[in-house]
Amino acid sequence: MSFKFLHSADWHIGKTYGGFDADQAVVLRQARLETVATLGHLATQHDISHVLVAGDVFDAPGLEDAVVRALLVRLGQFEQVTWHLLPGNHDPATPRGIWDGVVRRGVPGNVSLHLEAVPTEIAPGVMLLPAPCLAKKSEIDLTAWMDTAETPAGMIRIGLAHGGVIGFDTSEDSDGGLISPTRAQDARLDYLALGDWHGCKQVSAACWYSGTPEPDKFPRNEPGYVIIVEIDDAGTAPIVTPFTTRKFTWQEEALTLSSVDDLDGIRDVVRQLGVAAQLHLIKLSLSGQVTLSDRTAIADRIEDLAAQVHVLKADLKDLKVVTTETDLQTIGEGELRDVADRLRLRAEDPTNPEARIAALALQKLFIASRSAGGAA
Amino acid sequence: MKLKALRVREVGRFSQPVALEGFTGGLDVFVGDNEAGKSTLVKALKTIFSEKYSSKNQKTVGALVPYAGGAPLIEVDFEIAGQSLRLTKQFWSGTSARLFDLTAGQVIARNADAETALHKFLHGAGRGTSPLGLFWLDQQEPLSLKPVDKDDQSRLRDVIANQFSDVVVGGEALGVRRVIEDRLKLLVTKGGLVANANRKPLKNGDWDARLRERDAAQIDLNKFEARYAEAQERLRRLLDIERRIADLAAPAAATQRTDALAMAKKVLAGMQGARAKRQTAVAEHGAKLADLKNAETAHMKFVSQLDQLAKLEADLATATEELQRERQAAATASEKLKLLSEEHTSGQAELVVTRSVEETLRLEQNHAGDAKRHDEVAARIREIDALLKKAEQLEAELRDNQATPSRIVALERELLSIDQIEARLAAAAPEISVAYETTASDRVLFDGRTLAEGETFRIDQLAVLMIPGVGKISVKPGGSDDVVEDRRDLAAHREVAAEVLQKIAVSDPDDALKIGKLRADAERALSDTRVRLSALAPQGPEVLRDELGQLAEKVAAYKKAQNAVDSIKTAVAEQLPTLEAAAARVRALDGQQLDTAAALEKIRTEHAAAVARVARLEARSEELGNQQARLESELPDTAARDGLLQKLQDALVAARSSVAVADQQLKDLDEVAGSETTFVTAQAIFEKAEVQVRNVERELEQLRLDKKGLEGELTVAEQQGIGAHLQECRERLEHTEQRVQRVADEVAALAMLLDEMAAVEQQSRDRFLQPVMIGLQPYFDLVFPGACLRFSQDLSMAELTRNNQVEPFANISDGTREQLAILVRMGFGRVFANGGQPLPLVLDDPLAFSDDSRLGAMFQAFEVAAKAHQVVVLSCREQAFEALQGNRLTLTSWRPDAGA
Repeated sequence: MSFKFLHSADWHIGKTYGGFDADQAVVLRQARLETVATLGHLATQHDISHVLVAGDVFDAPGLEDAVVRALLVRLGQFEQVTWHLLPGNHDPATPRGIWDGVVRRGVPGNVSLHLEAVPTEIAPGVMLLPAPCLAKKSEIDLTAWMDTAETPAGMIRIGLAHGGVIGFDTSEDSDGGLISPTRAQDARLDYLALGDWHGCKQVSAACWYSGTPEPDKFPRNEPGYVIIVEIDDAGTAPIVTPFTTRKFTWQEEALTLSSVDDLDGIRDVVRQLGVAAQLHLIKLSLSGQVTLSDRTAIADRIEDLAAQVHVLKADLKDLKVVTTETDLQTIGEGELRDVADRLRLRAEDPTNPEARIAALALQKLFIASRSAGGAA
Repeated sequence: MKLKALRVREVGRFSQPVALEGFTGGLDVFVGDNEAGKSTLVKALKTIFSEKYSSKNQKTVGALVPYAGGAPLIEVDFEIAGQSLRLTKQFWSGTSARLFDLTAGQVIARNADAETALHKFLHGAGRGTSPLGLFWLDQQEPLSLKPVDKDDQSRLRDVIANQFSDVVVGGEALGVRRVIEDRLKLLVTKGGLVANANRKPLKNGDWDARLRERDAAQIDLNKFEARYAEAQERLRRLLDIERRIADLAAPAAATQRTDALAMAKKVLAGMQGARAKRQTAVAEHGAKLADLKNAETAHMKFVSQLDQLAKLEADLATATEELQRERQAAATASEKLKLLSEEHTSGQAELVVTRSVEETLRLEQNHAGDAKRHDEVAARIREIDALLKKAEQLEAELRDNQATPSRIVALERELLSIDQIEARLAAAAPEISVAYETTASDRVLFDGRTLAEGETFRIDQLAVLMIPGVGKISVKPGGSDDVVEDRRDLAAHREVAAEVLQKIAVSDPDDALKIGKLRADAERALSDTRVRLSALAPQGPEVLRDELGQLAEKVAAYKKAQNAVDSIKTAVAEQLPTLEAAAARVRALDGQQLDTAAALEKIRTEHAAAVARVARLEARSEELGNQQARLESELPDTAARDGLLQKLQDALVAARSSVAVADQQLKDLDEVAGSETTFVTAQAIFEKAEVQVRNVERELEQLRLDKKGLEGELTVAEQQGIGAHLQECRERLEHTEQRVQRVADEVAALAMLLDEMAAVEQQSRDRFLQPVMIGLQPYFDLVFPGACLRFSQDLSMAELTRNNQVEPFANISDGTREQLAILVRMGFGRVFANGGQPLPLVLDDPLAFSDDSRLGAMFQAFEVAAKAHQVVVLSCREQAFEALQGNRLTLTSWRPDAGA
């Protein structure tokens, strides 16, 4: 008996992207909804009847009715696929929470909600052991019950859960995780489908994070995937195949600059993307040390790049600017030079609380002097 | 530049061509009447340099067209950059322009080319407006040159900013500042464009827009946070309600409530029935209790009497035995008492005898010491008596002697003073010495006696020397103040000395001193005597006399008892050979007697107690016998007593059984009826159960209504997606705050830049004004010596300091302001001239408000200025300007076609 299904998670439908301009945010929100179609088509192409979504289907507990309705409509459009939805920490199954609303509104027949930790036979010989999040923050390993959950002999056991695996995420903002790294073995699971980690990542032989199908932030991992899992029989190792699904590419670059030419690489990359650059979000974290002249050129270059991609965020706070004699000569003679010298002194004084503003003023002077010179 | 000639035709009042020729390029003066056309000539001069030949400007060219019509023709000869040029412009109609090189005698350019060439001559390759504007001072114009006059300020600023840019002020800086200002204009209000100003966001500007965007995000966030909190609160309330409904409506809970009500009702009804039956049962129970009480009383009384009798018999037997014992004890104690009394009496007799022996032996032992001490004390008393007698004699002597030490000292002091004063007076008195001639011996008489040869004496009063046959010689001692005072003091001292002698009762001071010495000797002897007495009897003679008396008595007593002592010593020589043995025996006997006395006392007490107990027991036995007799008389015969007791016991058992049955009945009823508290509680429980059922129904009804309302509200909130909006608002606020920060940083940077530029410009102005002030100084020395002019930031004149008084420019008189305006222009002119670009200063009817003295000073200033650059003065005041030196110009006719 073989069972093939699609493992996804962290759709975060309804994410608002408040940190972006309104027009940029609208497009990104829409892209998350479009993920459903991408997954539906992928399932159809691979003759897959079940899609397991391991939590965080919704980005927040309180979403507009229209958003929830839009998702359910899209899910219902793929009648041949059964969507198994699990509450995550972003959309926990709290009393009167978002899932109560979904239930009250009514879900399409091909949508199966797993709001309680109860084994469910989702296909002949296949038992799903869901571990829904019941609160925004849990203090226990919600998958622990799977160890003692009895299922008829010979059935494939698939766990579906959302949360961190102990010791998996070592970043500072991680809570360390609560799910046992040996849960799949301890609970005799043929596969444990996890959500929460937005990158596609294997935890153990039978335990994976699928990651989010559509990236939603500048990543530390590798988002934009779903996983096709095939299990030949109970007790056999799963065959796992990741597929790329992302529409937008979120790219974070940390560059150490010594001149504007050091941006040529990213410029060329964007140039080669052509119109596809519009589906790129780039975050540049620039450091190093450049001249005032180069700093101005870098600002121009960033403006050019921003015009080509969907979003460009540039963090220049670590980019140190030094004012050279050439810069000062460019600014001019006489009064302008005097002004430049005074600003330079203020900018380079480590005890001056306005040093940052003075540096900015120096850049403004540089630009204005070129502008005025050009006008003349 | 120097003007050489001016020619006009059909210009203002000059329909005919006229010319001012012969300018020297130094001080050129044209004096003409009012209406002579001076202002017209000045305007023509300004126009030809500032307006293009093709200009149709009504204010400038149009104003020159004569009332009768015509086309202004203006021609000017001038020197500039080493060239002599002639510029001719035909305005208004048939326009043309021509620039002619007078040296080369050829046309340099015509029309537009002429204008271009002229511009080059005037301004070189520089930018900006002509500096010439500064050097036209129209009639009355200086008065309008106020520090706040914008036109003038602008003119000065332009001249400084443009004309001197290549020298000190970077011209590019203006362009940069405009760029900065242009950007800042989009961000801050107009007031913020000034250096060091407080910058506020320009309404609808970029900064303002970002701030409003941020504020809107904050408002939205606040709104959604409030709504979210509200929804959360509703949700909490709804969940509480649902839990409450579930608790209340649960079947088990409902059954429990109805069961509780039914049970309470049943319990209450049972209690009410039992309470009715209980009243009858209580009465029956009371009667049976009374029966029982009677049976118990009869039984108890009989049993009690039997017990009492038995007890009396036992007590009587015990008392009889005890009486027997006590009587025996009393007899034993009496015997002991007798024996001890005899022992004590015999011991007492031995003690008396032994004490007598001890006293006798002690008397003998003390007698030797007492006798010796008696003799010592008697000798000492004898010496004391002799000393007391001597002291008495000395005291008598002293009482008779009045020469006390204080009087002797006072006398000695007075005698010394008298001696000293007398010595001084003697030394001061005239001394008379007699020395006769051989033939005149003993002829001098004094005080009735003949003075001997060589006799010498002093006098202290008038002395008359008699020389018979010759006459009298009177000698009078001098009467100085010292002598008078000494005499007065001498008399006083003598008086005091006499008083002292009188008190001592002598007249001769020597006697007084002798008596004083006798008194001193007696005092010393008395003192010695008293010391000795004190040593002999420290506690006084009487104590010694008392002691002597006591010793005498002891000695006498011993002597008297000496025979008895001897006989006693002989009698007890073996038993009590020494005083110590006798004393030891006395102490032993004392101890024995004390012990015997204590034992005697103890046995006496015991005897008395035994006697008392015997008496009490005899009384007790009698009392018990009497009681037994009384009780026996009350009871039946001994044989009938057991039967009566059995009968009473049977009656008691029957009564108790009956009461027990009644008790059980009552108890059973009580259990059902309960106590009053229990009954009240049962009533309360029933009523509470009833109320609870009703309340739960009402609460359920209300909860269901509330639930419905909250569900509706929550559904609305859910549909509005408050949670998602909240998240979005938070992100949007952060995003907008970043945008605000960027703009705020830009504003701060631009502002800082503007402020720094202003600071640098100020420095430049300061540098620039330095040569101006230097150029101005020679004129100030002439017109306002010692005064100082200060320029404000906009280069206008701010204030004049004279005689240490600061005068704001606005407060200065018209005449002075006009003079200052002209001098400042001459100061600028000197700067230009020093820079190799001399420009003419043209003054139209100047110094209209100047008094004669100031006029003269200004004329001198003109003359000084004219050495650096050309000064052209046009005036209508011929007399006033007569003193002004310089080249006098005259208006002449001109033939336009006659020129080159």
